[in-house]
Amino acid sequence: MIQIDIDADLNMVDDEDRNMARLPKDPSRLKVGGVAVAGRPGFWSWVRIDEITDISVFFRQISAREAAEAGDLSVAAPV
Amino acid sequence: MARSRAIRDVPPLPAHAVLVRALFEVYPDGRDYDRDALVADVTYNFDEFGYFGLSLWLVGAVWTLDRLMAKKVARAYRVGLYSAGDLDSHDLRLVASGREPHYDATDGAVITGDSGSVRITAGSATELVDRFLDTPYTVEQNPHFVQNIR
Repeated sequence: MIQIDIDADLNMVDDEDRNMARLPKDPSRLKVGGVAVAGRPGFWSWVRIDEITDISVFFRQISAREAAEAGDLSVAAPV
Repeated sequence: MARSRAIRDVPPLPAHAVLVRALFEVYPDGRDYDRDALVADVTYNFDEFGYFGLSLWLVGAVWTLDRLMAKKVARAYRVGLYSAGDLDSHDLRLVASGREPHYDATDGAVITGDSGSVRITAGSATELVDRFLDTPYTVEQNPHFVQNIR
């Protein structure tokens, strides 16, 4: 079971085609440029965080390889 | 304050147009949707863009169903397919929001002004979700599904 950092409807995108989600209750471990897991069971992805606002986090889906190459998976929980 | 939303100036969709929504896990009792999660999703759309909306992807000549499943929702192992006509018959309007081929289903009124600006009245999160859940759809497996684990 994957642990998801950002609950997200991955169908939803902004005008820049970025995925977006409501900011988690504890966003302290999220940072712009960081890697996390977003989505829900059955439809989730590794993502790179692009922007954080007062209510939202914007991100782009990346491959598992890109996530591993980032080297900082402290936010994202292991599978 | 709501974030502005780009609305594409495109003709209304024909009834036979097909729209895709990637599905999450199978919920208890075999349900494809979690109503509370959908209400939260459309409410979040309201908080960001000022109207209740639920995201869908339009199947077309450029964005074929195969390409959509490979590029937009490859992390989902199955999708729901809806017809524009069925959504319309459940009083859901389709808004060409963001970049092609993204659409939102909304239950608010879509009003286009003389300047081309678009205003979407608020509607209701629960009404939208209940109408969406009442709309028939078919489930298709995604042949491009990638688990995306390390």
